Amino acid sequence: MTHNRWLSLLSPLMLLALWELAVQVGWLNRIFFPPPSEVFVALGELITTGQIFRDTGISLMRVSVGFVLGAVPAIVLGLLMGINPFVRLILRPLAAAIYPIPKIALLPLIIVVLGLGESSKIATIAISVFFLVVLNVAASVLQVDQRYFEIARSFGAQPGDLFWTVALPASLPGIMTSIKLGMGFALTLIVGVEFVGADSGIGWLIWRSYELYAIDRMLAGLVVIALVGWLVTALFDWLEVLLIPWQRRVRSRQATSRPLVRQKREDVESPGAGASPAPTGSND
Amino acid sequence: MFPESGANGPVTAVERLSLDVTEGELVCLVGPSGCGKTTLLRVLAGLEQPTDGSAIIHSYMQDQPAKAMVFQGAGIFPWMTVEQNVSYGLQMRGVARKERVSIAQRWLTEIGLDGFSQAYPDQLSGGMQQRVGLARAFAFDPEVLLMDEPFGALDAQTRLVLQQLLLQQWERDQKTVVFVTHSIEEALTLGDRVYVMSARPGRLIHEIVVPFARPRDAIALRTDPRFSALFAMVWDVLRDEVERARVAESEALI
Repeated sequence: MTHNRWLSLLSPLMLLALWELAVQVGWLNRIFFPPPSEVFVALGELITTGQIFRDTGISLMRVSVGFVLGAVPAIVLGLLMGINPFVRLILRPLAAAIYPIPKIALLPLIIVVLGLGESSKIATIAISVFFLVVLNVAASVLQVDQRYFEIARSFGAQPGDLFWTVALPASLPGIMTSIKLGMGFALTLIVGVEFVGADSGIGWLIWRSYELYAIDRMLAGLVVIALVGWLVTALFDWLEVLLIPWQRRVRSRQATSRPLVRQKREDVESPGAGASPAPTGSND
Repeated sequence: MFPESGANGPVTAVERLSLDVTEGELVCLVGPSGCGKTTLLRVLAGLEQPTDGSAIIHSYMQDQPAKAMVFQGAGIFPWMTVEQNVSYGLQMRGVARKERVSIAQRWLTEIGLDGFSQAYPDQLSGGMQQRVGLARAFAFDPEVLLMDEPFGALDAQTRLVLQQLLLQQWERDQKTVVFVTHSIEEALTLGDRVYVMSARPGRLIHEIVVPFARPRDAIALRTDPRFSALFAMVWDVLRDEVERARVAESEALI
């Protein structure tokens, strides 16, 4: 581990030490802010009773099933929207109108329709992920520099070739970014969904601890969420390197990366899609 | 006449232009920027439809593609390895994988990028990327090569090296080449004939038959007194056009 890595570990440790000290000295109220030592004891209990594994497991199941159900059709439709102007014209206004609605606001309606069981939670995640990913994927396809299509055509590429050799690989970095955004969103959402009408899951654990005034357990739950989020992010980063090998170097020297070439495409307002590198432009 | 749409409506990029290129000839087009050189090449490549007139390539080979284009700034695909880039045209032609790889390898050796077949373009310098662009077009093995300022973005030394590389390849294969460039030196170094284009709308206003014997040496040519004489002559024709293009451009801005 390098010197710098140690430095970046230092600040959270300092914060924890300061917190512990503040409680022990009496600057912070122990009831509202149990010190880290107590939180870790509570976490230890959750681990030994196995409860944390049960609730985290259930939450992860809901997130991953909902994520797959939302993201897979979103990627397919997003690609279609990016490639085909007709599909885009039909679907984009609808998707763009629904996109900004906080999907958690739909939860009551979803519960009315699907009941209190697993399906309503999974559906909420799936719907949220779907709209986020579909628009971002469409935007990343539209951002592919048109010159690449032209170059491919000049070598005799047919529409199918254009999809497999240009549109898909060129927008893969953007698709990956959309997927990561969607996953982050799903992880945030699951906690809120489980606050309401759940009897298991990490969100439920936190809410239940609040009801019992077990703030140390509540904080332990937060630690677990942070850990899960970090692990999932690491997993997706690893997947990204695997799927997009040509980006490895770009990433490692992002600070000095080349300027992005003009985006000359018409009609995208992108909800934060990834960028694709482009060839130097032609003018004459 | 090939109007091209611009900010202020359609613009006639090229008009009253007739150009014949014989098989196995390397023809260079020089002209001021914005004179329609690239448009002309794109029409030849079939990437753009002329509003009037036509471009015909008489194809003699049944199993060979008619044309390929080498683009400004390489235009190689960043998501493909060097080898995949070089064999892209062959893949589109349906050449079997094994044969593709061996052809690509041969061209990589030819252009001096032997150890880089599995590298991605981002790991290469601009000059190396442009070599890959050349190899991709050569490997495709078209009857006519259309080159749109392929070395325009490179530094002067890399440019000389790649000109020499192109000369060697061309002198061996004798492909038909239409080469567009800004650079008079480059045109005189490479071409059998050089055409000077006028400011927009582009027309061919001057033809020079380049007298240098082949094989040529890109560097030795610079010291040939005929080279500087020809350069002066071409510049003489071009100077007024460059001035006209400059005036037209600043007027368009106002």
